[in-house]
Amino acid sequence: MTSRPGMAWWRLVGPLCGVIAVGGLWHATAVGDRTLRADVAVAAAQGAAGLFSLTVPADRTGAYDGGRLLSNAALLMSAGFWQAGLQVASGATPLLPDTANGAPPAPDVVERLRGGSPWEIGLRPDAGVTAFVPLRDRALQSVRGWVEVWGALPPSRAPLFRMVLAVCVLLALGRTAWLTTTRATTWERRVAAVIPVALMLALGVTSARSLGHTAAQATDVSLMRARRLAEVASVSRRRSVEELARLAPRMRVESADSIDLGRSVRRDRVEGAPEASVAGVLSGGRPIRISMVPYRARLDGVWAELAGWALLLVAGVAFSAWAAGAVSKRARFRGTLTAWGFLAPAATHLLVFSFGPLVFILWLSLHRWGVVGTAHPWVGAANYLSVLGDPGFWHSLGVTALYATYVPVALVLSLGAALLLDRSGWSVRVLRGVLLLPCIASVVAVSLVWQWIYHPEFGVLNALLAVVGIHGPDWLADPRTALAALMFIAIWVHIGFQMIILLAGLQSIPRVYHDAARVDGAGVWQRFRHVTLPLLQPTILFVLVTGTIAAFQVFTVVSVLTQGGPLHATDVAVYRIYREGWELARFGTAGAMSVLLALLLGGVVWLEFKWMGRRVALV
Amino acid sequence: MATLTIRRLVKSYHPPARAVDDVSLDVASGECVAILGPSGCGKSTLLRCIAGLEEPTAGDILIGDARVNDLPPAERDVAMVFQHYALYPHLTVRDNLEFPLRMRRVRPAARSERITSVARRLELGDLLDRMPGQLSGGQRQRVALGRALVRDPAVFLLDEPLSNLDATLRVQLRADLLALQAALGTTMLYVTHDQAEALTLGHRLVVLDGGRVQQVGTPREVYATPANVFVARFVGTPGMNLFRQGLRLPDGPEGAVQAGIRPEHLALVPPDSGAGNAEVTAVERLGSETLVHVRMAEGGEAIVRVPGLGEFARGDRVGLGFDPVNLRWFDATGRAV
Repeated sequence: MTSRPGMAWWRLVGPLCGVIAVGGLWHATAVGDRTLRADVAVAAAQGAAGLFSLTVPADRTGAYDGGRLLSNAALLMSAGFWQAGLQVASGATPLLPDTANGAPPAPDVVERLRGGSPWEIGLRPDAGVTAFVPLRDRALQSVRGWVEVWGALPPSRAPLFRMVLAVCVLLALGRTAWLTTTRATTWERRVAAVIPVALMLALGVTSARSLGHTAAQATDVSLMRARRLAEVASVSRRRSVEELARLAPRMRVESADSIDLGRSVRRDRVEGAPEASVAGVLSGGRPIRISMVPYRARLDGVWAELAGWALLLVAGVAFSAWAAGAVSKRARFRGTLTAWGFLAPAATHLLVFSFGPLVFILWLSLHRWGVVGTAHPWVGAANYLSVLGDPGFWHSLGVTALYATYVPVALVLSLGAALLLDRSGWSVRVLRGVLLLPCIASVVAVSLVWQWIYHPEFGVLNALLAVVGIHGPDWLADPRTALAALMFIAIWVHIGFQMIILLAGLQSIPRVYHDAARVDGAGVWQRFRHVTLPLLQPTILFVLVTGTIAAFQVFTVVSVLTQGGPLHATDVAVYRIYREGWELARFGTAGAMSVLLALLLGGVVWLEFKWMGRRVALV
Repeated sequence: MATLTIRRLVKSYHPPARAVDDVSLDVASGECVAILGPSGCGKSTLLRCIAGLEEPTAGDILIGDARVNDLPPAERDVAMVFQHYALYPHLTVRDNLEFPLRMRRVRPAARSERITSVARRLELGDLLDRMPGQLSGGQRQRVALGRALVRDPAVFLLDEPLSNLDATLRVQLRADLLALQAALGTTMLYVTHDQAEALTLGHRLVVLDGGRVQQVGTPREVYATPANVFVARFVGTPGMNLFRQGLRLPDGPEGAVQAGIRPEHLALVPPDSGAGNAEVTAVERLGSETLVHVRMAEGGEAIVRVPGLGEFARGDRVGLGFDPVNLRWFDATGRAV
């Protein structure tokens, strides 16, 4: 019953993917955890450095009083809220006895801090992540030393449960691998596939929860510590909000309108973005509020990575299960494998350059993404709501739809040209080539040529109109004519390409149908109406769909000739998306616009397919 | 129904070569004439000229008493069935049948009546709402035939209508066509390269070669008294045996240089007892008959048709006998004497 049909490399694909996935997941969790600890340590070190710059006296050269610096650091370490390791150096000399047996920072770290690096991350053998920040003078100009903080976040709970789960996943994978070498029943194979996947999902969820817990804790600890530092800094004298801001450079410190007696961290959403804040009262009863983007929002990449590793395992196990099932249909299996081998280059290209950006745009549209800052908080549907409530976006959609009406016009003209040129002869071939020229030329070059043609004073169009006594307008600068001018260029560019496609379609219609129609009594128009048009339908659909897509995606000609003007008359959707992203640095909103445009385009194309997509098989 | 007259018709695509070369033909009303010839002999071109799909280089085409050379196909009152059916793929069977009537603006009620009548005659009733792509080859051919029948034209033109079908279906449809033609009494021109179709369907045969008419006659005439060597060799499966030597032949008419005899008119007799001796080179047993290929002692080859499964083997020595009545004589140019 358990005779071994022989090992093959594909049997190992599933377990191998599983092992890589478990390793990857474990690594991603560890990296996420370390990143959070580094962030908290940096925040604490910046807070300490800011406190010293406010409270330690300095001499006329700006150098701190070493004794006062040492005593302040010692006081800070003994403060109940601090709860972290601390080292401070004046110049290059550490002042505090090193309680964590750490070595002084390497000279290159100190050098980088002096060179302007805002922080440096290191590892202490006994205390994990450690952060170095420069200690600047009071004016925050020159670097006078450095501050090191470690252990700024309590150690997370022992990952024992996760380790047990990981071992279970590996054991289950071993069982799956063994089963693929035997003639297991379908039921056994299914169980062997489901168990590691379930365990891996459990491991993924547990890892994600653990990271989420650490992130929440990191946010709380950082905010609480920043508040206490602000309170400590303002004990001896009144400090302005700007001065206090140096205690938490990566947070927002502001005066509050009223005293908030709540001492715990509050979590809210501001304009769709998550925010964590804490209220404090300075000496003299001044209320302040310190807020930040929760660390959880920085874990988006980590969540994606965790999901990716889990998916790798699922894919691997699915492949393995399928391969084990297909082993009895060896020829088919090999054929499928070979087919995928041939498909792989194209599929990879499609995945990386089409599917990947698509997913990224979707992700982008659900987050806030600006040029400044590394945080990209989840904002849900806020970008979409903002776009849908923006009259400018609706206007650009209307302009785009109006612009796209050139497509049927171009189709009719190119069909006419194709019908006229559907014959032999050298003159016809030359004419076809001439008509095709605009679509093989660079759009930018074509646009520049038309810019000259449309020029109000030196353009050939107005010169020709002047001959018949018409004073032509400034075609591209007049809101009444700018869009029509662009549509005319589009027709001129596309007509040759569409004509060639339609010509190929016309010539693929067997002559016998026309012969039959002639004998049946159909005249020229009737043959066109009842034979040519229906049989040309798939080609017309192709031309219509590709034309519509090109029309909705118009950008270059607008960018070169009108930049969306005049008075937004040519502000088409893609150009608006471009401006939203690259000029206004609102990539999240630009992403939402892109998705909405794609949906609209998808709807239009679906309607076109619905309308004329009935397949015609030539018999 | 109407008569069809062709007078000295010439069609040339690349002069001086002629696809149809000086063809004259009279088809009586209700007559079925089969045009037979090898591929490329100009038979389809002749048909297309009659249909109006090609413009003749010279000559006249008359349907009834009217010269139709200058009329478009729609006004010639002919219907044509094409080799590849030419059913409009985007229309249902019903719409295909209706198409010629719609083009001629026949009233809807009359159209419906005609379609029902043709569908009943050709057993297309269950297929009316199907698309051509959903039909078998035989069904498509019946629809193509129906589309020709539905408007009751003066002349039917059929261009190798059965050549795309398998052998069994071809035999069945051949019989159907024969019955249909007999029932309708239509004037029909039937182009084919298949002799069986031509011999069974045609009241008269026109044998074409190189664009020229080689012989016109009833199937019996063409088969029994071929007008020239080409017809003798082309008509009949296998064709007529031709002898210049190898057999002891009686004296032929004046000018005759070779004799022909059909394979079924040759007999295999014991060696030295017939008009000549020969050696069997191949035996084809076809079930009801056997074709025996022989090489004659004095040179030349022949095929002998014997009934049943003859007991002959390759290498056997045999004698050849015949009745001189069945001999046909040809002169040096190949014409029958």
